[in-house]
Amino acid sequence: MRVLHLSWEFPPRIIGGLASHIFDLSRALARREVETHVVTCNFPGAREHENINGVNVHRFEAYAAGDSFLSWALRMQKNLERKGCDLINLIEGVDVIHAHDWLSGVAGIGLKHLYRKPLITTVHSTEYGRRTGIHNDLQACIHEIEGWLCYEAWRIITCSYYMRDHVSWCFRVPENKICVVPNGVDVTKFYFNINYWEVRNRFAQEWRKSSCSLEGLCWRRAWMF
Amino acid sequence: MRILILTWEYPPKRLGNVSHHVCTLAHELVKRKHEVEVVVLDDWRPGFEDVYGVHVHRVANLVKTHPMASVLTYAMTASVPMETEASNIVYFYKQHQKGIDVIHAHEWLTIPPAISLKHAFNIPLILTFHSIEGHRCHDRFSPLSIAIKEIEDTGIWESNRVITNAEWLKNEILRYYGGGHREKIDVVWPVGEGWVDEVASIYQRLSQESFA
Repeated sequence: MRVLHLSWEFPPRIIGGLASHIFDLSRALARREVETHVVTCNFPGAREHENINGVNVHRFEAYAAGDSFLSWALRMQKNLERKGCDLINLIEGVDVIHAHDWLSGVAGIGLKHLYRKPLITTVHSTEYGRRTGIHNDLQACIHEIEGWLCYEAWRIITCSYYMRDHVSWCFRVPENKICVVPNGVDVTKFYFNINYWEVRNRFAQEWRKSSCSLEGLCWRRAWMF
Repeated sequence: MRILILTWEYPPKRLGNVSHHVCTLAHELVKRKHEVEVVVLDDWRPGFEDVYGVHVHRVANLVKTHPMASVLTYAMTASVPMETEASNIVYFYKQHQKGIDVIHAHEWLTIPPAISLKHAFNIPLILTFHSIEGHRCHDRFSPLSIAIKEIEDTGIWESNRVITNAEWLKNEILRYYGGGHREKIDVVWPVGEGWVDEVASIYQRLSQESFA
């Protein structure tokens, strides 16, 4: 089984939660003896090709001029697609193409048709959810691209039931096309030798009640204080 | 020979003279017993048509809203349906143990899909420049123009041959995109009778070179 992950961020290039999601996911897949390749943007100091705990990381030239973030993102994805083509020819085929969000989705759609392989997409967030609605043409364009990606993907993965319902509503996707796979956390990364009370007391006085959330916040996480 | 032509205008869609040029080229090639597949961007008439032997595949961009009517986001999103249709053609011929010999792309809008197709299927690529961004734009240093110039530059690097309409345009391309491309550029003045034969001989030479 050979999987090609497309992502615009991967450590050390960390912009949002996507980087750590794919970092942990790809290493976990590699442990299960899935041949995992990640194609991602280059970053100063990061090597073009490297193997991290069994994950093959391939970085491409992400620089592209454009008149907006959207133009850059789309031009960057053409470079991603070209790198993906070269890589698939080099390793002689993949079984599954996995695109993460719209920032690699357009390249994923292209590769799906060029190689006729199943496309899976993980929708981490939607433009509608990030900005609480679609207010201008730039957002509408991204919204349409996300909808197009959900249409083209064979299966959609969301990380929560909330997102499943949201994606289903937002892009009119049938719910049986969406699988919910919650984010896994590699707890070994959090075994610190620290004084928890000292850290906790940095945020609140000792006599106050405090709570700690290890999850993404979304509308349905009805926090009551 | 089997030729895949990528263009962004083809009759009845006419915005400039590329439409007429590509139409003449396609019909003349069919008369000379070549198989011609044309993939063209046409939002109003998507579908397949066989026009006197020319197979015209019109594709529509699936993304309809573009901020500030940006031609760049339009071109980048439109490139995916073009690739899709072109790879459908390639897979169709593969079923019959045949292949596309040459991809011929016209103007910068078709450069991104042409590059992807070249890399995916390893087919030689020819680019025709009817004009270049440096001459068309109002502001050479606007981000949009810089981006389009980058696309044209990448296209020249990636293509196996470049065709221009005039010696003057060839020199302008060398001036904008570097003199190192001199050997790569052919000049075909697309007027009169014999020019399609010249283009066909470029196809012939290129496909022989790449399979040698």
